[in-house]
Amino acid sequence: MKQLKNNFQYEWLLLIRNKFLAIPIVINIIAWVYVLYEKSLLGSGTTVENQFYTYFIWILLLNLFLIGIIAVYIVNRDRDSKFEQLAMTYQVKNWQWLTGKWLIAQVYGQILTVLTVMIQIIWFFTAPMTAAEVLKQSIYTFAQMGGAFLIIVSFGFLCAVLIPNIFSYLAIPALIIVSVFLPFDYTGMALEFDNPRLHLLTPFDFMFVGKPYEGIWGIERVFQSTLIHQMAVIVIAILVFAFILFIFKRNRRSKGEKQLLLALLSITTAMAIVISFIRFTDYNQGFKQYVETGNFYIDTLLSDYKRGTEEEYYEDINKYYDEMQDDEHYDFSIEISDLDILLKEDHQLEATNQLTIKNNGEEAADEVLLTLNHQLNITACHSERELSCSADGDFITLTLAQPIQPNEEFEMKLTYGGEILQYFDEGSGESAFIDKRRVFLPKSAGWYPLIGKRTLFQVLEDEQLYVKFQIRNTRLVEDFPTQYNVSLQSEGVEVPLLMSIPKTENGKFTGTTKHGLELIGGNMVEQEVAGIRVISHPQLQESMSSIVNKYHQAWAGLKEWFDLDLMPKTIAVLPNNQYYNQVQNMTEDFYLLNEDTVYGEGIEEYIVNDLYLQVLRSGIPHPETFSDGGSSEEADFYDRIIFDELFNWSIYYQMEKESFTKYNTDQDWGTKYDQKIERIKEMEKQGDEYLLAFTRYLYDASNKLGNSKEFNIERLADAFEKEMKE
Amino acid sequence: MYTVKIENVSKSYRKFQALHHIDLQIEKGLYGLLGPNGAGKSTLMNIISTILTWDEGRISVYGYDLKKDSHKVRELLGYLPQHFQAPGQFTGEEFLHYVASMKGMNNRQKRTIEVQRLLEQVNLTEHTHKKIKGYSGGMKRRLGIAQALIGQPKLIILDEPTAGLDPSERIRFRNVMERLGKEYTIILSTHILSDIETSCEHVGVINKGELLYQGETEKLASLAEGTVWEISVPISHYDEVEQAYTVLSSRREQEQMVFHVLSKAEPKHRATCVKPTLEDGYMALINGVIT
Repeated sequence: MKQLKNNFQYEWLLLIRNKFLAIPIVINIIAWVYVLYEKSLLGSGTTVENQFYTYFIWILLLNLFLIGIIAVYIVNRDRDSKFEQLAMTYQVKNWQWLTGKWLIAQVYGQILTVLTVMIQIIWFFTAPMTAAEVLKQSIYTFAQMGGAFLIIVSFGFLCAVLIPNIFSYLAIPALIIVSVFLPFDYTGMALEFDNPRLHLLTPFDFMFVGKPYEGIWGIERVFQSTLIHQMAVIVIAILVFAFILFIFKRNRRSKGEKQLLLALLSITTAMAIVISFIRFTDYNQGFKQYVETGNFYIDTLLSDYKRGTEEEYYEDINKYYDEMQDDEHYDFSIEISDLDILLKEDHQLEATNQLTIKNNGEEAADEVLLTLNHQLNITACHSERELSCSADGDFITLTLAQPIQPNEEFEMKLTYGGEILQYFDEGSGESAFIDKRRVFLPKSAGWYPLIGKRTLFQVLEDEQLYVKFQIRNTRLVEDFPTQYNVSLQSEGVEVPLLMSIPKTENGKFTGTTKHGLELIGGNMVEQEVAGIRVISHPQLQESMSSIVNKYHQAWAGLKEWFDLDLMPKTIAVLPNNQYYNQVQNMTEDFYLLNEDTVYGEGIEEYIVNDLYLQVLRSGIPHPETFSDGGSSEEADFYDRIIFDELFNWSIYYQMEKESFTKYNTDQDWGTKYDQKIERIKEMEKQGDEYLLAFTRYLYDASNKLGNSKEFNIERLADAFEKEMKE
Repeated sequence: MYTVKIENVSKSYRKFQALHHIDLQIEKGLYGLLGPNGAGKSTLMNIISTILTWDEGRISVYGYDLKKDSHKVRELLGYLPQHFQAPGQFTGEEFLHYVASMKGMNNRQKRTIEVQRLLEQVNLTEHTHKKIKGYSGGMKRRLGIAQALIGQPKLIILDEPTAGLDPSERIRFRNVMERLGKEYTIILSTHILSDIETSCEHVGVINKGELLYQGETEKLASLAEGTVWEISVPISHYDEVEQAYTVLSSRREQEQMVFHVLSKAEPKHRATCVKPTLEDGYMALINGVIT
């Protein structure tokens, strides 16, 4: 050991005297100074954790490259100068010679890790975080970066030993590209050749990259699996180094050295297998469940979707993403739903649900359908009325002995429970979960009975993907509102819980909605902004207040000018990765806002697009639909474009008070469009409010016209102006 | 008593045969190893210094089997390769400390005494604390010699040790070697024949992987007895002589050119047989004039 200590000390001297090796440290400092400068530019639009980890990944990748190159250099330096050849004539043992260098490369890498962690700690203490939270975050960063450097140094040494020329340097970027960039490109959409399980073969826990830091749920989801992943990385790094020692200059290796190395190789191999297996199993159960979910719904629901010709494929894709098809009319409604829920950590749920079901149709029926996720087991099904319950997949069929008449109601009670843990993006993220520090039960998880036969997930067969399908959650807006009375209890859940309906007292929530229930628990606070209840990460309160004020202006404008009351009572600010796919709830009583929405330049445009979609999804008339049910494409193309632009401008105007001409610059649709838009500009001379009134006039006209082909802006403008004069 | 015994050693790199059945016995003292570039000298020295393995044959050093007890041989070994660069960021003293520790001298006090002794021996005491990157070529060579001598090795292998040394340093070096040669075995590989001529009692000549000669240095010169001729011809015959014989040297004397040439038979030009030098003997061997 004394020999090793001496080697280490002299290698250290070489390290600190090499000016070029200061470059990576300087690059790191410059990078973080730039990041902090950027942060001050961005203001407090997002959490410090989100900002830190967004930049951290790029700095980590850069450092992986630099440290890998340095590791190769440390070995190549003495070989190229022939000093290694000379040293091989000394008594120094192979392991002493290489370990001294390996340790010094590791120390160098860990200096960068410590530097990063120190920056993180200082930065995080500027945010309202407890010391325990900061500690956990820094452990996480240390494990990710430290482990990654440990293994890249070992692979750097391996490359240098196996490839005794300049190409050993090229092996480092090649390794990084293969292990990191392939999964980096295909998260959630791994192509046929790219087995997502291979995404575990990364020098740091890749799941963090695939699903970035998630605000109100923090790093809770990935913390434990990351530590296991990095433990495996550390053990494999030692295993690789032991292998290097085993193959290095075998002719001068003593018997004792060989035996020790064999022992080390055996121990590290065994440890690597065990820990890697734990990590693999941890991921694979999520992946398997994701595949099972996909196959479950592909078999039962959308097996007719196949990839055919390119044209057919896009037709299928468009159909697949058409959220309006998610709404299926059903004559029955749940009038009252009294739900007693007990949440337990490890994703367990127990529930008793007292339902009042009504037949809103015009015919008597003896069968009523409910939807409940098939992961949950029904343990009891009672009613004073004689009925039988049978479950098949997600669907429960209530067969009544006596048919239920139109407008008649009946009561029943369901008791159910089980595990509700759902994954998305090939198992790399969770879309429904109940854990100690995080809870999310979206309506589409099917965690409580829904009326009718509802499709919880839409699946599209896709031969080009490894899993052979795409999957998304569904909209699930009901035809009739339900009055929910929820009593919520939890065991082992340590975070505050909120629902999409108002809280009446501790653990009690009551509200009437046709948008269903969402349940959220995490590091969040509530505030009221312009009469709207806003739930967000504590650090986002300020920026969200500004954003919600902007939204409020836009919603108020929609109400004032179009009688569209879309302003929600509650806005929850969640990470943008919480769902299977792009479908998110934007309803008038519970609006989900992306955590990534950053207040600043362009937010108004973002809001315009967001609200346009909200109008589109709300089921009420909007610029793309006509009362006759005809396709908007039947109207003149340019008329439709101009109507859309006017509608969007009218939302934008509520926030920015900017004229249509200024808003609508740089449009290049050709001469016909220019001719038509001239008329609008003429009308604009009468004032902005005049044009807003005209937009409303067009909106009303589109809803009143008997035939969408009759929608003609010039004619409607004439009529409007005539009306105004009168 | 032989300290290094090489028996029937062969070594090849894929299809290239670097050493053919070499048999060599080396005694305590200074031993010169001669041969042109690519002859196989470096391969042989790398084998003896435990860097390379060989295909067949047996080598023993001070009674230790080089294959089985290479770690024991390394304890006895001091080696100076022809080309190596000491890490430039070290001072001379730090470098020797580093080497000494790798040679198993873990006691810092003893190491310091040894390092100081060697720095003095190679005349680098004044530059002890200077970084190696600031050393001249000669200073780096002397530092290389110093590292080879650390730990008082019994077998010292020196590859072109005096290259880059000025005449006074070279004399100093020879004196050190001669002193050490009384106790230890030193193998010197050099192109500077005068180093061997003045210091080595025994010499070996290798060419194309084969050992052409081993024996006393003086006898190598005498082997060429009767094959070295001095020819004096007019300048206009320069090309004719160069094509006809292996020319060892030439000089101009007024309108005449005087050549020293190798030839088994008496040259047809007017020639006088002269007493061969070590260099003549070496050249005669390498060029196949004598066998």
